[in-house]
Amino acid sequence: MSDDVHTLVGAYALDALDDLDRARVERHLGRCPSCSREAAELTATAARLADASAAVPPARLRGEVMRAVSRTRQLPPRTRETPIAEAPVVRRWRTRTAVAVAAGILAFGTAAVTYAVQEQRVADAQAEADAVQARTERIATVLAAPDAIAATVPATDGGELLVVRSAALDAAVVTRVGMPALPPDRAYQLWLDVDGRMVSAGLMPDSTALVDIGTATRVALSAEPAGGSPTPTHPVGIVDLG
Amino acid sequence: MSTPDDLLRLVAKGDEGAFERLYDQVAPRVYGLARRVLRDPAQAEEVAQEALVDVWRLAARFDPARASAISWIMTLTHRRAVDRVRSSQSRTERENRVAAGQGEIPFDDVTEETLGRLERQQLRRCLRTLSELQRESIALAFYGGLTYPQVAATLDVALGTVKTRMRDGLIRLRDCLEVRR
Repeated sequence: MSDDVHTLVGAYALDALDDLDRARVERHLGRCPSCSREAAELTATAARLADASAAVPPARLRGEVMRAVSRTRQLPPRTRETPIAEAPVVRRWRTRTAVAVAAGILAFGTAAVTYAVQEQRVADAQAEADAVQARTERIATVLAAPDAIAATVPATDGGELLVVRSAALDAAVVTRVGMPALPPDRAYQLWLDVDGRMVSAGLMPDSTALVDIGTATRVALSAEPAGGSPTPTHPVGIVDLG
Repeated sequence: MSTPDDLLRLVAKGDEGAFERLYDQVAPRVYGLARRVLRDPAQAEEVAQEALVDVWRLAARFDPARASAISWIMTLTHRRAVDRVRSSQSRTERENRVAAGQGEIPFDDVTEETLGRLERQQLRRCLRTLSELQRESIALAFYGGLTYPQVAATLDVALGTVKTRMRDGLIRLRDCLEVRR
C-alpha cells in the first residue's frame, strides 16, 4: 500500500473521506489483508466513540422503525464468485451530485434529439426521433425525481461510472463519463446484480442508458467482445444500489 | 440475554421479533450518535430510522469475521449521519453550529443501564491519553461529520498532519480500549 493511501486509513475509519478517496482506500484494502485488518480495527475503535453519546430516543421511533421494517425487503448475502467483485465499488449516494450531474446529462439528451431530427433522410426519422425523445424524457424524469441520488465510481480503465437513481421510479440512469472509446470489436455492456447473479441489461453503445432496477442490488459496466457476453469478463465499474 | 451478535444472526434470517429485541439494545446508541452528529432532533430521528432499517435490510451482509454487531451497526449509523450532514439540505445550518462547538468529546447523560458504565469510563480514560490534536481531529471528524480537509482547515494545520493524527490517534485509542474488531 502506498504511503499516501495508507495514512488515509484513520480518516477512512472516521468517515472523513469524500467518495473518490474512499474508493481509492477500499480498492487498496481489497488487495492488502494487513491494511484491511487495520482498517477494520480502527473502524471498530471509531464505533466505540458512539459510547459517549447514547441518548434515549423518542418513544414513537420504535413503532416507526418496526412499521418500516415490516414493509422492507432484506437484501440477500453478498456473493463473491463473480470477477465483478474486483471492480471499484461505491455505495455512498449523494443528493447534491444528482442535481449537479443532471444538467450535464440533460445537455447530452438534447444534443441526441437534435441529431436524430436532423437525420431526415432516414424514412422513419420521425419515429426514431420520437423514440429518442421518449427515452430522453424518461431519463429527464429520473434525473428530476425528488428522490434522485447519484454515485460515481472511478472506472478501471479511466473515466468514471455515474449512476443516478430514483427509488420511487424504480429506475437508474447510468452514464459513462470520460471513459475510453472501445475498438470496433469490443462493446460496453451493462449488468444488474439480481440475487447475487450478474444479469445482462444489454449493450451500452451510447454514453447514457436507462435501466429498471427491480430487485437488483448492484449495477455494473463491463467491456466485452462486440455483441456482448453471457457473464461479465472485464468489469470496469460497479455501483452498489443497496 | 441475547447479545447483539446473536440477535443479528436471527435478523439476517428475517426474524422480526429478534429485530425488535435488537432495537431495544442498540436504539439509544444509534439515536444518540445521530443526535450528536446532526444536532437537530428531527433529522436525528430520521437518520436513526434510516440506519435501523439498514440494519434490517443489510443484516445478511453482516460478516462477523470483520466486525462485531455493535461496531457494524454504529458504522452504518455514522455513515448515514455523515451522508446527511454532507447533503445539501442540512449543510448550511450545520456549518454554523459546527463552528460554534468543536474539539471537545461530549459525554451525554444517559440511562446507564442501556450502556455499560465501565465502557464509558474506559473510553473517557483512554481519550485522555491522546494528544490534544489527535483528540480534536478525531472529534471533529466523528462527531462533527467533517472531512479531513475540513478538519485541517478548522484546526488550521496541514492536511498531512491531520491524516496522520487521525490514524495514530485511533491506533492509540484502539490499543488502550483493547479493540480487536
